[in-house]
Amino acid sequence: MKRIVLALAAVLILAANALAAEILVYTALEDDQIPRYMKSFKEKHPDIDVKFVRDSTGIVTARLLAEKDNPQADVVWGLSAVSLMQFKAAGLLEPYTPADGGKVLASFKDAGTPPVWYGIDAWMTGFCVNTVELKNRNLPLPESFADLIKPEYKGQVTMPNPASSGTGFLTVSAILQLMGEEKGWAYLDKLNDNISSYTHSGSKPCKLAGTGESTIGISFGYRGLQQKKKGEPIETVFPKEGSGWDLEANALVKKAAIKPEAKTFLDWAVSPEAMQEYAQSFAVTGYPTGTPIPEGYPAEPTKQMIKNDFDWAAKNRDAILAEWTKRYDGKSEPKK
Amino acid sequence: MTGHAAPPVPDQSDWREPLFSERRLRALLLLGVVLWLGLVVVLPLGQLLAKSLYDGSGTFVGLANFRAYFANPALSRSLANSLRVALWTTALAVPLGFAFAYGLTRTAIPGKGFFRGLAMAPLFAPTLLYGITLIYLFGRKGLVTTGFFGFASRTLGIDAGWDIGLYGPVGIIISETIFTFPQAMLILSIALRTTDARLYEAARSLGASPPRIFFTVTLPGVKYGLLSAVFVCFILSFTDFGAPKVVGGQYNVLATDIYKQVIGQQNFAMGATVGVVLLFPTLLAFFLDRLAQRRQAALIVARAVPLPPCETALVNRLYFAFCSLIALLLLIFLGTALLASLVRVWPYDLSLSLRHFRFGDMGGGGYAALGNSVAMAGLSAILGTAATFGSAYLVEKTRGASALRQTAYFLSMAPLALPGMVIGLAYIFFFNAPAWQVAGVRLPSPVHWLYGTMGLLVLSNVVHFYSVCFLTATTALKQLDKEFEAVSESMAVPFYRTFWRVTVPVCLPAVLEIAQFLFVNAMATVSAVIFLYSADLPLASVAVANMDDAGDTAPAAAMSVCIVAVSILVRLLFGAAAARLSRRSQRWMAP
Amino acid sequence: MDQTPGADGSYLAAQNVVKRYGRFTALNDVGFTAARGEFVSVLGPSGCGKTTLLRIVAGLERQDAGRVVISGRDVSALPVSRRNVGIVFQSYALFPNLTAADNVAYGLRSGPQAGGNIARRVNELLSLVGLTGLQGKYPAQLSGGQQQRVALARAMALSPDILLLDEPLSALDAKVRARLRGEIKALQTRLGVTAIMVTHDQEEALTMADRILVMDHGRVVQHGTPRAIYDQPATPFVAAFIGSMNFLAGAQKRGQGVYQLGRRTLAVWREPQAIETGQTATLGIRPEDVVLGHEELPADERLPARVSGLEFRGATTRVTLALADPRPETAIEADLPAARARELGLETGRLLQILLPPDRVSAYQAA
Repeated sequence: MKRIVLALAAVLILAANALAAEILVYTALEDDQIPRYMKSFKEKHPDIDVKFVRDSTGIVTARLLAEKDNPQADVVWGLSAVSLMQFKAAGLLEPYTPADGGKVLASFKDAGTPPVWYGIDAWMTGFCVNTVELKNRNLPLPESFADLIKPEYKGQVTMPNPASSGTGFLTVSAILQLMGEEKGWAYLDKLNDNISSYTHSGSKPCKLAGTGESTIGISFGYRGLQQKKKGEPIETVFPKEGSGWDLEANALVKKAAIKPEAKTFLDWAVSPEAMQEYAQSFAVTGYPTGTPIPEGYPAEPTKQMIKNDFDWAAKNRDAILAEWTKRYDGKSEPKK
Repeated sequence: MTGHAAPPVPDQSDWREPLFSERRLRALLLLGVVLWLGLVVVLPLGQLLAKSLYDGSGTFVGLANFRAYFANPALSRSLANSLRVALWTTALAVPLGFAFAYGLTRTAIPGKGFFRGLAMAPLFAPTLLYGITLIYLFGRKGLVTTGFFGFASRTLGIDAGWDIGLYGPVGIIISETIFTFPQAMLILSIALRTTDARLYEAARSLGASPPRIFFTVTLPGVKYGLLSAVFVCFILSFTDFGAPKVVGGQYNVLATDIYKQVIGQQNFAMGATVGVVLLFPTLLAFFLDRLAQRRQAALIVARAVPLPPCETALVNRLYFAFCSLIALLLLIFLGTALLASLVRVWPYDLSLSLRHFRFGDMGGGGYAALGNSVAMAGLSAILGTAATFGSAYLVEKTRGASALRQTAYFLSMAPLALPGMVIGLAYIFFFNAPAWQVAGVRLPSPVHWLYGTMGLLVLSNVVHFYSVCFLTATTALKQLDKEFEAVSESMAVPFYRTFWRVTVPVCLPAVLEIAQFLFVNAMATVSAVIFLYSADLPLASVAVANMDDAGDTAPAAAMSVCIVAVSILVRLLFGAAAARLSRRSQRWMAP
Repeated sequence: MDQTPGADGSYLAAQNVVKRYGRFTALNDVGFTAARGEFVSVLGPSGCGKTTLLRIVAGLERQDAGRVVISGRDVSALPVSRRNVGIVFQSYALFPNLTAADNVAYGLRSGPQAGGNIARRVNELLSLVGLTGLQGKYPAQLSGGQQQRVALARAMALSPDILLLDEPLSALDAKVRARLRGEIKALQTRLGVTAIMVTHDQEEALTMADRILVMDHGRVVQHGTPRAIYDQPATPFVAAFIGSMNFLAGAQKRGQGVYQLGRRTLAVWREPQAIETGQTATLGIRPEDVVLGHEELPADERLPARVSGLEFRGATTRVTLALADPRPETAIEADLPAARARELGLETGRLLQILLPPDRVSAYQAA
C-alpha cells in the first residue's frame, strides 16, 4: 500500500515538473541584478521555469549568431541594442509587441513597424576611481577622457575589451563619435599606452579598481556605485565630454516553435513592476517610472549621455572591432 | 608403431565453441571496449582534425587555417609562449619534486606522512585557484608585494615589499610549478623506491664517494622516472588553461587562445586549428614518455632488495629543512587562499566575513553549481572506475585475441596525450553535430542526445583521466596470480563470477584509489568542461572561472575553497574506508 | 603414436599434437597415452614443451594440429570448462581472499539445498589431503606444503577425469618436497584418478610416476617405466638427464658388440641406437656401474686408471678416475657404496684397474 502511494506521489511530482514550462533567456544583465529582477516574475508566474545563459555582451551576441541555424534561445533580455540591430538585420528576431510596449519612449525602441526590440534601460560610461590608490600615488582625480591619456596615469588604467564587452564597445563607439574617426583612433592609441590590461567583462575594470589591482577602471555607472555601497573606496566619475551609452533591450527570437511563455516573459519584462526594478539600478529607463534617480548618478542623466547614432554603431561594429583587435589585442586577457 | 589405421587427424584443430561461451562473451566485451574507446577518443579527435581543415562556412580549405595562424604574429607568439612556460615549469618542478621525493623515500626524516599529504594538496584545487591566490600574494595589493600591507615598513622601517611582476609569464610559471610539483614528486618517489640496495652496497664497497654514488648509481637508476616526470610536467603546463586565464595578463598562450576563438568569437575553425597546434607537441612528449616507460619496466629486478633509509644526521637535517620549507610554502599558499575567501574587502577592510560564500549575487550558479560538480564527480568516479577497471581486466586477463587487446591497450593510453581542452573542443563538435556525413550520406547522429547533459560531462571526465586509472588498474591486476582465470575456467565457473568474488576484492585498494583520483580531479577540472557545461548544468570550477572573469575574485576564491573542502572530505572518507578495508584484509593479505 | 581412441584401453591420449608460436615450434608431433588410474610424468628441461603439452591436454591452449581424447571422447575442440579436468598450478593460484574451505568449494554449485552437501564434501576433501581443521584459514596463513594440498583438494573437488599437475612441488624446499611426493602419490593411488605431472626434477618423476615421458625441444624422446628409462636410456640426452652418465666419445664400432676406444677394445652389448660398423660412437656408462679393483680379470677386459679425485657423499663416494685410454687423462666417475670404498682403501693418486661391464655400457651415435 505504501509503495502505491509513493509511486503516485512520484508520478504527480514528475507530472508537475513536466507541466512546468521552460524558457531559455539569453541576457547580458549583471549577475547581481538578475535575482532581484526575477523576484517579481517568479511571484507572478511560478510555473514558468526560466533558464539563463548570461555572459558579456560580445559573447552572447556571438553565440546567438553562431546558433542562427538552430536557435536555442527563446528570448533576449537586456542585451545591447546595437547587437539587437545586428540580429534584426540577420533576420533572427520575431516582431512582438509586449503589453506595455506602447509606454516605451520612441527613442528607446526599434524604429521599425512594428518595433522588433524594446529598450529597458540605458547604461553609460563611468570611471571607477580608487581614491586610496590615487592618494598613495599622488595623482589627481581624472574628470574627462582627455585626462586619461595624461602620462602620470601610465599603467594605472584598465578597460573592457569592446569585442567581448558591451561596455567596452559603447565607450569606443562614443570616443569615435565624439572625436571623429581619425582623432578617435589617435586618442585610443595614446590611451592604450596607459592601459595595463583589457578585461573580458565590463564590470571587471571596476572590480580591479575596487581591490586596488588597478587605479582607474573604465566601466559603467551602476557598477561603481554598487561597489561603493559595498564599502570599497571607489569614486564614480562621469567624463566631462559626455558618457557613451547603450540601451539594454529585449526581443523575441524567431524560431520554429515559439513558446507562449516567451511572450509572457517579454510582457513582464517591460511592465511597470519590472521597470521599477530597473530604475533602482539605472538613471534612465525605458519609460519614466517616477522612481528617484539612484544616488551617485548625475542629476540630469540625459545631459551626460552623448548623442548616440545607433545605426552607425550597428553598421560599423564589425569594422570597428576588427580595427581595434588589430591595434590593441595583444594586451587583452583571455576572453570567454 | 602399431598397425591400427588411425582416423585422419585434422590439420587445423576445429575449435567448436558453444554460441554463448565465455570466450565469445569475453571477446565480445573486449570488442565493445575497443568500439567504445574508438567512439569517444578516435572519432571526436578525427572530427577536430577535420574541422581544422575547413573554414567557418564549411568549405574545405586544407592547411589555410594553419597558414593563417602562423602568419599572424600575435597568434603564433602563443606557441612560443606556451613552450617557454612549459620549459621553465619543468625546469623548476622536476628538481623540486625530485628533492622532495628523495627526502620522503631515502632519508629517515620524521613526519613523512604529513609531508606527503601536504604535497598532494595542490591537486585538489582547480588550477584557477593558484592564479587567484598568487594575486593575493603577489598582485598589486598582494601580501608579499605590499610587505604585508606595509606592516613591515611601518614597524621595521624597511621596505619589505617585493613586486615580482605577477601578471604574465612569472605568474603562470609559478602556478604551473605548484600544479605539477605533486605529480613530479609522485612519479619520482615511485622511481626512487624501486631500486636495488645491492647496487649501493656494491658501490660503497668499491669506495665510491656519496656524490659519485649519486651520479653513477642514483640518477641512472631513476632516469626513466626522471624522463617521465619531465614529460608529464611539460605536457601539463603546456596545456593548462586555468592559471593563464587568471594571471596571464597580456601573455597569450595556446590554451587561452583556443578559448578566445571558440567561445569568444565562435570561430570554431580557428579554435580547432589552435587545438591541433596544441596537440602535436603533446603527442610527441607522450610518445617519448611511453618509450621511457617501457624501458623502465625492464629495469625492475624481481628480487631487488629495498634500500634502507639514510642514516647520516646532516643529510637528514638538510632534507628535513627542505621539506619543511616546501611544506611551509604550501601552507602559506593554502592559507592565503582561505584568507582571500574570508576577508571582507581586500585590502581595505581586513575584517573577516563569510559574505563571499553567499553566491546568490554572483554568476556561475553558486551552490547549485557546487552540487552539480559533486554529482558529476561522483558519477565520474563510479562509472570511470567501472569502465577502467573492467576494461583493464579484459585487456590483461583475456587469453588470445591479442590484436583486440593491443588495440584496446593503445586506445586506453591515448587519452594521456589529449589535453582537456582538446577533449572538450572535440566533444563540442562531435556531440553537437545533429548529423554525421558518412561517405556523402547524412545520418542522424546517434550521440546527439548527450549534448548538454550531465552524461557528456561525466564522459569527458572519464576519458580525460582514463589512462592513469587504466594503468593503476593494470598494475594491480598484474600482481594477481596469472592462473586465476584458468582455475575458474577449469571449474566451469564463469569469469565474471571470479571477477566479482576474487579479482575485485583483492584489488579493492586499487579500485578505491582510482575512484578517489577520479572524484578529486573531476571536482577540480576546468579545461574540458568549460566547453561542455550548459545553462542548466553549471559547475563549480566553471563558476570560479566566470566569477574571476567578472572580477569577483574573492567569491571565486571562496568557491575554490568549497571545491577543495569537498575533495578533502571525500579523500578522508576514502582513507577511512581504505583503512577499514586493510584491517579486514590483514588476515588474508600477503605480509 | 597412433592409437585409436579407447581401442587400446587408454584413458587419455594425445595424438600428433603440434603447437607453434610464430616461428617457434613448441610441440612437434607429440603424442602419448595414459591408462586409467595411471600416473604419468612429463619430464624435461625448461623450454622442452612439457607445460605447453599439459595446457593443451587441459584445454587452456589450443593446439595447431593433433587430437586429445579423454575416456573415448574426442575433446580436442572443447574448452577447458567442458573437459572435466582438475589442475594444480605451479603457483597454486589459491584465491587469497577466500578461506581454504571456500577455495576448495569454489567450483561446487551452491543452491538453497546444497549448503550442507558442499560443507560435507569440502571436509571430506580436506581430510583426504590431511588438512582437517584448517577450513577457516586463509592461504597466507598456511605453509607452502599446506597451500599445495589445498590446491590439490580444490582440483579434486569436482571429481575430475584427469588430474593435471604443473610442477606442483617446485616452489617448496627439499624436505617438504620429499614428504609431499609420497603424499600426492598415495592420494592419487587411493583415488584412482589418472594423473599427468609435469616436472623438470628427475627424482620426482622416478619416484612418483608409473610411466615417464621424456621430452626435449618439443619432441618425445623416450617413454616408459622409470626403471626402463633409467636402465635403458634411448639417447645420450635421456641418459644424461636422468641420473648421471659417463660419456666416452670417439669409440669406433669394429663389429657386433665390439668397440675400439683408443688402443683398447671393449665389449659393448647395448645399442639403443642403430650404429654401422666403422661408425664413430659415444659410449656411456653410469657411475654406479663402473666396477673398481678387479685385478684378477684378463687384461683386455680391464682398464688401468688412476684415482684423481674423491668426493665423500655420505652413503656413497664418488671417485674421479683418470684413464690412460683413449686419450691420456680421459676422466670418468664412479659411485661406490661407502662400504666398498672403505674396503678398497682408496686415496688420490692410487692406480687401479677398473671394469666396464659390457651389459652396462651403451653405445650411442656420435653427436
